[in-house]
Amino acid sequence: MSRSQVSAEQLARAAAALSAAQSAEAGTSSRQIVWQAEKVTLHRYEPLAKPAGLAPVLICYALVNRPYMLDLQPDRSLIRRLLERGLDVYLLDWGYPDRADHLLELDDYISRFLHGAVQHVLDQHGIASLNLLGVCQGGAFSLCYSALHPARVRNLITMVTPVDFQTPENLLSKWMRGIDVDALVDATGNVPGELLNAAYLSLMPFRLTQQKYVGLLDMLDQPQQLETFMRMERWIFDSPDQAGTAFRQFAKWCFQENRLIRGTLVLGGRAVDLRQIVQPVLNIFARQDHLVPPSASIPLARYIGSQDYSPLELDVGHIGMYVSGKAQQQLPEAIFLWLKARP
Amino acid sequence: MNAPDGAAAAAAEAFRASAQAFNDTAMLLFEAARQAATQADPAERARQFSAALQGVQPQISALWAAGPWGAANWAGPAWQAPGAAGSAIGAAPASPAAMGPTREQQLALQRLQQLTMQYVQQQAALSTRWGEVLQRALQQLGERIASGWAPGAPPPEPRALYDAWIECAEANFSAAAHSPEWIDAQTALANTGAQLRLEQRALLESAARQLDLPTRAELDAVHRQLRALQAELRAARAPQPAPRPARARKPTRR
Repeated sequence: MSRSQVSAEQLARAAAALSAAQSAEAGTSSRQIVWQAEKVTLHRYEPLAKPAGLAPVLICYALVNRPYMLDLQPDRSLIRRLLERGLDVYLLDWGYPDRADHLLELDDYISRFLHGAVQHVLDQHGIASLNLLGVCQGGAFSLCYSALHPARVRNLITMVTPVDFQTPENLLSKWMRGIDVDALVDATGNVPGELLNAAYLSLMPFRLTQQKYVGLLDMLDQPQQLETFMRMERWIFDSPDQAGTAFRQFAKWCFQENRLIRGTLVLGGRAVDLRQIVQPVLNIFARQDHLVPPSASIPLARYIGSQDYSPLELDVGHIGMYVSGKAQQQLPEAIFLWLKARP
Repeated sequence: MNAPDGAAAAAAEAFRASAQAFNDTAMLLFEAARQAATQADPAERARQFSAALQGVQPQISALWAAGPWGAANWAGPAWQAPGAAGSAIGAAPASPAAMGPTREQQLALQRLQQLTMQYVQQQAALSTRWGEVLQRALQQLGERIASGWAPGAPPPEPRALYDAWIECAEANFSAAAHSPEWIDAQTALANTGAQLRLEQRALLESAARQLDLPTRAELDAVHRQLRALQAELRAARAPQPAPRPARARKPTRR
């Protein structure tokens, strides 16, 4: 066997090392549940620094995957970096929908759960508006919410957020457009997280299903790297099922009909008009994002009514935006300074 | 809750499978390079290397197809059409005319059979496209390695060959995956898979009704009723708008 081949000894070491790294938990910052509606919980993080005197930040994550990626471990945590700068951080956790939730609609998520969380924060602080930070699909939800309730959002930050779902670089969108979404949801009830994972991995199958694991060979003697790998691995495959009706609506209305930018999205009987977004907007996107390519995020500027629009491009990928060293260095400070300039 | 409790075991298994694929792939590529390295003339070496790579394409294809994400399982393990994967492909036999008291069941079974055949054929069509991707990727790998191979230099290490192979495979896959032909093939497979599941469920529900067992459709109806009731409850609990102050009435004569 060539010296470059993986030996039985290396396989055994990898299994042992991965097993040792298994106990590495994600989500390390202290927090408490402050509001709940059905399976949705709102968490408030314990402060880590003197308050910066800014309105609280509510983070709205996507329905796919779990929000603890934003607080993966102490040295890879957007939330911790924001807390260290004196921001008051809230995180909305959608939970794990089960079959009894398959009739939940997008309007439930945006006008009931997100709205309820916003209202709770506003009531607790006695303020009229807060800072909303939407991530990925949660960014699209935040856009909808800001358009429907502009007075409640002081500043809006969108991160790796799709706005134009039909740009040529968007492979996931191309694949989605011909799917018989009704048949898919009728056949599954809730759309399995495993199915979505398969779709995401399929976008770069050789790298994500083989080479990534071969790369473990380079970190067998580096326990900390292995722990990070295991946390990431756990997160990637910790995929909640998607409430069938909400998935049906999101897939058809956004991926297939691009309603968000066409002005034809209606939630709870109200049209979502992005021109109603007149508050300051910081739009953060990742240059190497294969899930939400920059071309899907950049057009936001054309569709909102805000005169205070700031784009921010980082040279990372979709997941790197949450955890890469580069993003950890640049992103929290950029967000903080942008908010500080807009108290 | 879907949280994976055996994340380490799953990662270890993924590592084992990837390591095996790496060993097999890298060895095939390295052997091709090692044989070509015996040629002194760079042009002849490049030609021989490329020819050797085309020769190992069936093995490379088989290695990729055998994995959990390979062409044979393209839609992912969670979305296999039960009973369809790996079935023999052939022309659909003509269905006998459905008649008699069991006509509806016969028709349902015929639809299921047709969908299964369709699924298997579409899976084979997508596998063919996968084969084309791998073939082009090997061709590109040959050109890439040959162009950077200094005269008299030893063949690249297996790991370097493997990484170069992944890059070529990914680039060729990406180009193919954006094409209408690929999208059509993949979409057709996914949509037939969904139809197949719906037909299977319809058959199961029919059997369940005969045994007076609850069905998915009935449970969904209960969920819809529950949701409507919850909405009514929320509306009833919502703070009511304050009543308008009553207008002062004009005094009435008695």
